[in-house]
Amino acid sequence: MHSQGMTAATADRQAELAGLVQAHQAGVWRYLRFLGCDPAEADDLVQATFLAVLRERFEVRSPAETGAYLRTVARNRLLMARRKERGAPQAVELAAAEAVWARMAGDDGLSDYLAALGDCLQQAVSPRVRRALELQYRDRASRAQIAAALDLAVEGVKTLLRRARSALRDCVERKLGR
Amino acid sequence: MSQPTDPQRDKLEDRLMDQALREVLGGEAPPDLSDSERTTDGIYQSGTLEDSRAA
Repeated sequence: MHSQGMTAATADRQAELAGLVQAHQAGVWRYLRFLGCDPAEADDLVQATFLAVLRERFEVRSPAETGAYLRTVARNRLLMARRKERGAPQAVELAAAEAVWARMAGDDGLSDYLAALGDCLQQAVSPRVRRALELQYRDRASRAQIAAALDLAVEGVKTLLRRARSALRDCVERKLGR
Repeated sequence: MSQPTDPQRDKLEDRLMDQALREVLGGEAPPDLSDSERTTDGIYQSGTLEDSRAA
C-alpha cells in the first residue's frame, strides 16, 4: 500500500516533486506547444515528462539547468511519441527550436515574454492593428471577417497581421534586452 | 546545439509570437497540474512511485 510505505524521505521527495511541477509545468507545456504539440498532446507529455523525472531521481539544480533538463526530457518524450507516427519532427528543427526558445523564453517558461507582450500590445501597435489581432486571436475570426470589419482586402489582412507580429517581436525583444 | 539559419529563426520567432498571442489575447493557458486530477499525488498513486522504488 502506498500509505504503509510512506517514509519521511518519500514525503520529502513528493514535496520536492510538487515544487518542481509547480515551478516548471507551465514552461514545459508552452515549450511543447512551441514544438508543435496540440494542447491535449502537450498535457499528456507534460505529465510524462515529470513521471520520467521522478523515475530518474532528478536532483533539483539551478532554475536554468532544471529548465534545460526538463526541456530535454520533454523533447525526448515528444520524439518517442512521434516515432510511431509519420511526420515526426526532424532533429535539426528541434535543435533550432530549442535555440530560439532558450534565447527568447529564458528560464521562466515564457512568463516575462508574455508580460512584455501585454505591454507591447498597448505601446507598439495602433488601435486598428490591435483590433485586427483581437479579432484573430480572441474572437477567432476568419481573415475574410477581419477584412470586412476593418474594410481591408483579405490579402491586406495577412500583411497587416504579419507586420503586427514583427513589430511586437521587436518591442518584446527590446523590453527583454535579447 | 546548432544555431538556426536566419529564415528558420525568423519563422520560429514568428511561431513563438503567434503562440504568445494565443495565450495573451486568446485565453489559451497551460493546465494547472496542482489543481486537477493530474496532481503529483496522482503521479505517485499511479503506481509509478512503487515502480521507481522497486527499481
